[in-house]
Amino acid sequence: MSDRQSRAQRMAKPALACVKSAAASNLAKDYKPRAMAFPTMVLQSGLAQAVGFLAAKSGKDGKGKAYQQYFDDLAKVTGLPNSEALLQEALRADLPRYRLLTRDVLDAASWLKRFCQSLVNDEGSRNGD
Amino acid sequence: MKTELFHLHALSALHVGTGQAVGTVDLPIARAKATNLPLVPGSALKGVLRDEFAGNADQALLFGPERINDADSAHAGAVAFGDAHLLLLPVRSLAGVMAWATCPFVLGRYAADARRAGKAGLPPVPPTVRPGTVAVATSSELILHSGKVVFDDLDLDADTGAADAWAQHFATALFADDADSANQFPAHFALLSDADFGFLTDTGTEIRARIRINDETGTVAKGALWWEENLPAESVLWGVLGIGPGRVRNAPCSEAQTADKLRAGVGHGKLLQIGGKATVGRGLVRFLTAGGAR
Repeated sequence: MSDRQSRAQRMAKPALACVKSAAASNLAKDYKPRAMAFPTMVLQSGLAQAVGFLAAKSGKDGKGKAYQQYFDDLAKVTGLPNSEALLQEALRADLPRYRLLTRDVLDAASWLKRFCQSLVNDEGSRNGD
Repeated sequence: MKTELFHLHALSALHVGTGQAVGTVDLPIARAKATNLPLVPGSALKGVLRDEFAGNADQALLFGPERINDADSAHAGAVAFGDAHLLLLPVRSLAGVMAWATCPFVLGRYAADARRAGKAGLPPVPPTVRPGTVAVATSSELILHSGKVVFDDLDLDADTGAADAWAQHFATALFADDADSANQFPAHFALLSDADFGFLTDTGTEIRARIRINDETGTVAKGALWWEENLPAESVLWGVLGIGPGRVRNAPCSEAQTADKLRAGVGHGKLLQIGGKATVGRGLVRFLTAGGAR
């Protein structure tokens, strides 16, 4: 059996794991709004600006921690090791790579958004809890 | 059946949607499956034009009967409406405010449709534009002092004069009745590589946030924030109309007569409202027929 998978499958699997983990943590309440709004931010402001925004808002406390978690998850679903790698890639990429990275990040962000919609309610609990 | 080319020129943001989606935006616009380029389905245009003929005796002849009561009164309309495809995408430019952008792939399909519809004398379609460069007209206002052109998030090198012929073609085809706009158009025309244009049609459409206010609190109602995608105002699309003879039983009508009846109801430059969100100002377009642009 071939081990090849579609782009959607490659991204959906890690995205589901990331959102399940976030939903079970105390970060969910701040994680979800970020996941809902981020894809549009890429379209409105461009990839570098949007990723730069995430880097600026990420931190070790409060909302910053949830943003950092989202940033790391986004990088992982995109296929990069961590948020720093995604930031560097977005800043360094030449135009052809930038176009591809934008599409990859949009797809990854869409999966995170979709699973947040289904798994996390607005109070930050798992849906159905 | 004779075919005619038409253009749609958006005067406000245009939202011809797909109802719902699971992707990046909540309400995306319709796109062609194979190219992912935005389009306006022929059925959307047919519905709007049919409405323009409400109360007109020729409505059933041109568009088919509203209701079919029996086999004897059943007949197809005389006009066939093709999808309208994106031809010129307005993009933000650091110099010159805005550019009407297109690419060789789109121009090639446009030129082929135009030739099939009997239009001669079109400029040659450049086989390619190198990614990272942009062909502009001699009179272009899109170039910064450095020789660069900046569209949205893209820095591009200008190739001045390489787009003169197509700039002039569109100035005439779109603004035959508006000398000021026709004169200004070439300075804002840009021919991008297929790769750069594809990227802008994917990421450079207009995304608008919408909310619903809770009357009691005066703040956004819970869950009532959503994003809509639009083709920006000034977008230009093209499509093909097929005009055949009338099919109403015992009422013969030639192809030429059908075409005249259609033009009598929707002349060149007719303002139409197409797509959703009409009450918040979306979808005002100019319908430009080949007959009027000649």
